[in-house]
Amino acid sequence: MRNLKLKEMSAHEKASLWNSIEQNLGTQYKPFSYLLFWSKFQSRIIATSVAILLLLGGAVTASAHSARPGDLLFPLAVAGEKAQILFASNTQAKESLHIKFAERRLSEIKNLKRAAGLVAGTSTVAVTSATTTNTEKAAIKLARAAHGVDVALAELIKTRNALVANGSTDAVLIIDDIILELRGVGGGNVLITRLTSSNEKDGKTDIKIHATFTSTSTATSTFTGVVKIDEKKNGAKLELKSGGVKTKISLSENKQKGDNEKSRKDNDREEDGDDGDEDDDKDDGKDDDEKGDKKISICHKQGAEEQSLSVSRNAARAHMAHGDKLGRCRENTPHTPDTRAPIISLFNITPEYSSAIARWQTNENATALIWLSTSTPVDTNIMPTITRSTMQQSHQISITGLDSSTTYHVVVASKDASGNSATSSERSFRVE
Amino acid sequence: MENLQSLVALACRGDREAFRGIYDASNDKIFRFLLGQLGDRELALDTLQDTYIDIWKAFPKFRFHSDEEFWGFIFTIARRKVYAARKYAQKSSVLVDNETLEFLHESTHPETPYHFEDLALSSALEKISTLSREVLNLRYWSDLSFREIAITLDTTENTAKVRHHRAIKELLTYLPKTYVEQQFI
Repeated sequence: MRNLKLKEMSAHEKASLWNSIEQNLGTQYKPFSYLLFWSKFQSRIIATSVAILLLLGGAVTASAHSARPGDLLFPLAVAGEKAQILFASNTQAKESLHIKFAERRLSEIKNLKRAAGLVAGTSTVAVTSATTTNTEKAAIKLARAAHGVDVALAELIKTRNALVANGSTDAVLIIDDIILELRGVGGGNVLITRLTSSNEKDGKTDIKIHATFTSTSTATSTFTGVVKIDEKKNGAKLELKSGGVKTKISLSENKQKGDNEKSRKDNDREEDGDDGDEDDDKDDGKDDDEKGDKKISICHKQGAEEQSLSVSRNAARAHMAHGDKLGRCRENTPHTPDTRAPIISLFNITPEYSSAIARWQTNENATALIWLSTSTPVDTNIMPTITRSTMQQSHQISITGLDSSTTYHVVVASKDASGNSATSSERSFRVE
Repeated sequence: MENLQSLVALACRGDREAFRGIYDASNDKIFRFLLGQLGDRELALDTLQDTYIDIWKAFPKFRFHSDEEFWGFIFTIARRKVYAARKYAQKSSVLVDNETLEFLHESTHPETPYHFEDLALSSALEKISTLSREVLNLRYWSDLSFREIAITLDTTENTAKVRHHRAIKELLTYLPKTYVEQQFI
């Protein structure tokens, strides 16, 4: 039986068959491993589960979505937000979401305070006192609001730490603003405990103070600061400093906006975090605007168009509230279609025993096609004998299963990603 | 075969060039087996293509321990493809008369009267049972050892030897007496 002569496959058949096989290979099936899957996608599985729970959880989900800081389902709402951040496509989108959620915390606290019958301070100093209500119900609401402030603050500090770790400087500045505003909205009493010195010059009076700030929760902070009174402008400014953060509060009537819900505040992170009097003196000499004038880049949306802007921190928050993104817009370079065909160079064929190696270079990444024929000219209108779909610049393809003592003619071609193709001149070689 | 082992290791990780090496080393063996089993050159070529695509897909699950196991793995897939091809051919078969068949054969393969030159043997091979023909194809046209045949057929080496022995006996019964005397005596 071994001596029977079967009609074996010819070299051309083998090459064509391989070509067909290669085109159908596709991606290999990988055996499924639960451990590998879990270790690789652990965070995404958890986030997806939370996201699904949030999307499909019905009443629980709805409640969680509207949960305010301190509510039982608030952690679930936070988890949903974290899932959104996790799935955000890039750092810019993540930072924008962080800020969006921080603004949401602020808004929730404002609502909590409103529900507790406490109006946010007409200025941050003139905050309401816990003694304004005597009823038990009001006291419960007040305690609930205070707890909400603490929970929201803890959440925002976590966010701030995460952004600091990621080096998102601009986002950190905005979060600091929100934290300060949240502390202000939280309400409480500022008690000036000591006047240390005063300085009067050209109608301007600076009074250095020590003060304690007692929030509606049990937290009490100690501040050093200065009250700046400008008689000419009929205004006053209170600057408080604590924990490396400086808060500036305008007390002048003509600068307050609308119903005075929001007083102008500006804050700067201290270089050394020290809140000693010496530093106060040094800072006092500097112009406020000079320090608070750090511009933040945002990507401003105007209809379908996007424009990079440089704005102040407060303005940045307002922009982000209507959907602008933190950071510069991505450059939209006009798309010019690639019409240049790749250039084939260094094309050569090295015959070997019953095979040959075709080598050539292209000046850009391109596929490789080979037409092999024993007759000349080689017909390149038919299907190529060998096709390599891998995009590369250096091509080396082995042509196997060749008949000995036969002269072959070869034409190679390469096609780039835009579909431009280049074809080589015909080469001949003989397999001995 | 150290080279084969390294090629398989690379192909298992998705290396197409290594898979090309395996194709070069094995296509003749598999093609002969398929041609012997299916008796139709075009069908054998199509089945060979499908076989390699299945081998590629199954490679990540394969662990190379020996050449015998490698060939057993390859031919197990080829064997499955033969069954599938037969099933397909039965469903799509068209009855043609002998005259048409002869015309088609001559027009497509004018230089070759049939796949084999030895008509007596090819005729006998067509008459024996499928199982016997399979064993003989694997043994003589694909040059597999009894160990490799046993792995392919999912049986023991001894059983493979017994099947081979029975197949030879069955084949002899269909060969003309003069042929046997001429070839073996």
